[in-house]
Amino acid sequence: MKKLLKMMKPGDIVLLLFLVVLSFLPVIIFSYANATSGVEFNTAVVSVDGEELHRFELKDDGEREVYTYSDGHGHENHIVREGTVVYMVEASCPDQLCVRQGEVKQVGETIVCLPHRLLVEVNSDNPDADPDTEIDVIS
Amino acid sequence: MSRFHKNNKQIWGALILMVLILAGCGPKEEEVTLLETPYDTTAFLMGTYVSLRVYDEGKEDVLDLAVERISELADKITTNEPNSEMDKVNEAAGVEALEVSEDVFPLVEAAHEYSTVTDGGFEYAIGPVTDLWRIGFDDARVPESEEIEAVLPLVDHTKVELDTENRTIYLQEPGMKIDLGAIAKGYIADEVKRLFIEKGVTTAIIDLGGNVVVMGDSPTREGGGFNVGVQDPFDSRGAYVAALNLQNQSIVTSGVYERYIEQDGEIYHHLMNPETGYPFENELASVTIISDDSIDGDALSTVVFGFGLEAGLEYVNNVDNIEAVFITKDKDVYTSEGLSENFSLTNSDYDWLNE
Repeated sequence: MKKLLKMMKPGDIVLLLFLVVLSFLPVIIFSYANATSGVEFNTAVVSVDGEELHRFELKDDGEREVYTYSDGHGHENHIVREGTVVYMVEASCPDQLCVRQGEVKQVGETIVCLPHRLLVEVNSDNPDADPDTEIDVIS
Repeated sequence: MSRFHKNNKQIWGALILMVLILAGCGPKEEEVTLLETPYDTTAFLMGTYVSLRVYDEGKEDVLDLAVERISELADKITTNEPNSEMDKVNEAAGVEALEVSEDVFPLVEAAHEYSTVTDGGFEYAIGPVTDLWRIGFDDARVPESEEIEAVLPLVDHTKVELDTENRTIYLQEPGMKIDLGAIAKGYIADEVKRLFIEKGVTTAIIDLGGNVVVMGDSPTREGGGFNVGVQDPFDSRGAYVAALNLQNQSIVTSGVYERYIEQDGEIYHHLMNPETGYPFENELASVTIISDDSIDGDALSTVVFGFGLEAGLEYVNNVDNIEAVFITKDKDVYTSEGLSENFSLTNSDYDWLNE
């Protein structure tokens, strides 16, 4: 050990310390990148006939927001986001299936109001999603 | 020795060169570039939510053609539509044979074939019964038993005459009605697939309200194929019980959850037993069929549902190229013999009993 220390020059120690610090660089970069991208929530997209009308960010913030769709011919849907879940609170459609469906929050889950051709779909914006286990379509 | 060795090398070199040159002479394959984020479109057609995704670069136009094709076929096939050919055939019941288009006749033939081979397990002359219930429509109701008794004799595919040469259909008795609802989505999904192939699409997902066809491999998945979730029959649309990795296959689920009416606390679903005129009653909540053609999957999901768990499982295990997933009302899951490799249960509320 002594021999080893004798062999080392001040410059070596500087180099060694520099390399030790450098080895932590990837950790710093990745945690910084994660913190700035910060997409940890899903989104719920409201569309009618394939045209996107509104986007809810399903953040776990305890907030409640309402989006009202109206086509001007008496067709109305009131969609509510509460934290990370979305549901249809009220609709003027005859079958009320969309209202009875309750809450959705998982990626791929949908609320469909067929009479109004309205769709609420939960999408993932999470770049860390594992493509090998991710579900592409539901039957 | 070394000279011989050198010669040998030259010969090999020449051979490899020749193979390379010859390979270049083969038919030139069209270059396929796949997108990680596909072109997609959604539409409400046939009373359901249709979603199409195409991964081949430059093939976005095909989506519009497909939507057009679906709506054209749906209009001809579905009853109560202005251009419906089936309406006209049904109206002419007991009167005359009517010619139908090249789009419709093969579907009716397939429905007839299925009704014949399953001996009543599938029945496309079920129209008089579904017309009484009208499940899925605003005016759905539970009919009186006398009403059902009265129409049951009309539910009989042996009283349908098909003339292949002239593409005509004749219903022998007045009041008879063809209802292709249990097979039409499968047929249309196959037609969309055919259109895609014709237009050079190699990789796509066709989803006609849960009637799914996957083509090719997901460009973002190393293992290939597409991951298809099996709908949770007791949860919202889009929630799934299990996942299947599939390639170039159709997957269709029939379940009690799809369409139903509730009266006096009792649930009446849309899968009708042609012998009784009432919904099938057994331990099953849903049946998922995996097949090459979607028309087979669509028809079989209804047929096998009617068989119940035990007979249904046995039936599927005895047919080649057909696999199935059964989910019971007790949240038990059963799979057919050929499925264990690419099946995985993802919801712990359920038990996979014949793993």
